[in-house]
Amino acid sequence: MKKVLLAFFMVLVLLAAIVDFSPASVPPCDQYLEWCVFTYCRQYYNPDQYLQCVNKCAENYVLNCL
Amino acid sequence: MDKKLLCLIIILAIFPFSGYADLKKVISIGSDDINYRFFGVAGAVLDDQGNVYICDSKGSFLRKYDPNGMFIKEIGRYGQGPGEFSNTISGLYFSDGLFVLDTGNNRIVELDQELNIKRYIKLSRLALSIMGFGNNLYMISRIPDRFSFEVEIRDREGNYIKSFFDRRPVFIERIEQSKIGQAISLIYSSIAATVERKTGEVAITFQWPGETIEIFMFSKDGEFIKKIVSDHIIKYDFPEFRLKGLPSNLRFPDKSNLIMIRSIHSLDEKRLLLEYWVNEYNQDKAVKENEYILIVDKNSGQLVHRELLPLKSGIADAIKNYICVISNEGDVPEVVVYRLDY
Repeated sequence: MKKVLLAFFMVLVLLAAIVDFSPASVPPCDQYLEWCVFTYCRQYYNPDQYLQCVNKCAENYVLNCL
Repeated sequence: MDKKLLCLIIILAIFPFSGYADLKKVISIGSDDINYRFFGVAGAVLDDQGNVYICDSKGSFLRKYDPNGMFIKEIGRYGQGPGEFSNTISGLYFSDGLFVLDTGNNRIVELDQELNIKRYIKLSRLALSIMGFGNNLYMISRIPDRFSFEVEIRDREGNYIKSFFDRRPVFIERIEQSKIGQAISLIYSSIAATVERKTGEVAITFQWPGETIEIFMFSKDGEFIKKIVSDHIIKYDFPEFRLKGLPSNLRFPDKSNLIMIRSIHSLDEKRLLLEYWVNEYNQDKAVKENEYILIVDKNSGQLVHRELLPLKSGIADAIKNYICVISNEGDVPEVVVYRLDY
């Protein structure tokens, strides 16, 4: 059972590493806000969804980068 | 006056401002067929022959369709190597060739019209969008150490030439300069720009306008030419309450409007097209939304035509009387080319 859990944990760590270092990962704080607002939120064509996305970017920036 | 005649006069007076009367669908690309299926369209452009190029960010590919919307070619897959794109492609531009802004791989990819890759231009800074004319590439990017944006000119090898445009909307000055205020400043000082394909003239506007629409005209070398001022279609001033802090911490007024100029396009040497959102809010909830195409005369700044655009879509490109619209909503994302006759 311990081996199964250990293997499962290793897979999780590997997946996290892949996700974290993929070229599409979130940029560092000095580029985060403009990336989030102008690249990430661009996928929303509904105005209200877009504005919610922009507000979320600002919240994330304040929470994690200031 | 005869009632019928009066009705006719009223209808004729209203007609230019009603519905999608002058917007005719030319082609629609997007279906379940493998060559027409999209996952997240990030950019679409028309070349001078009417071919349509579409880049899909989620699918990491670029496709070419003929003027009838028939599939011609596809290139790309996810990756960082030659012929590969990231899944954060954020734009496509046509100017004597194609330019794809591959944000995830920090590079611009230049291709010919047959989708053969000509070169990669490595980026040292995050570019928000790209345009081009002649040997110049124009990139909108953040001014280093400031909370606003500029246009950077580079040559086609990627070498820096100069930057221009350091203006911000007037209402930004009312924001307190706290850390949160700086973040809000960055969001609300964003700009949209376009390059005229024949002359290289650059037009820049603020995406969040104040009480008028200001459009700044520059030469292809970044020299200021003039400012065009155009009126809103409703009485408007940027809502003050949005400037004081994060919207989630604010008390919203009962009703407000918020206008955004999502994109600007040079149709020809005389006309600019603005993609113009009007969102009506009650408390913090959007209760009514309309998206318009506004056509503005470059010389006078006069609004010469306005047209409703189908909701939940965005304009990717516009040239002459053709408008290329992306819709990622619904089961099948699609790109639609409209002809605007007015």
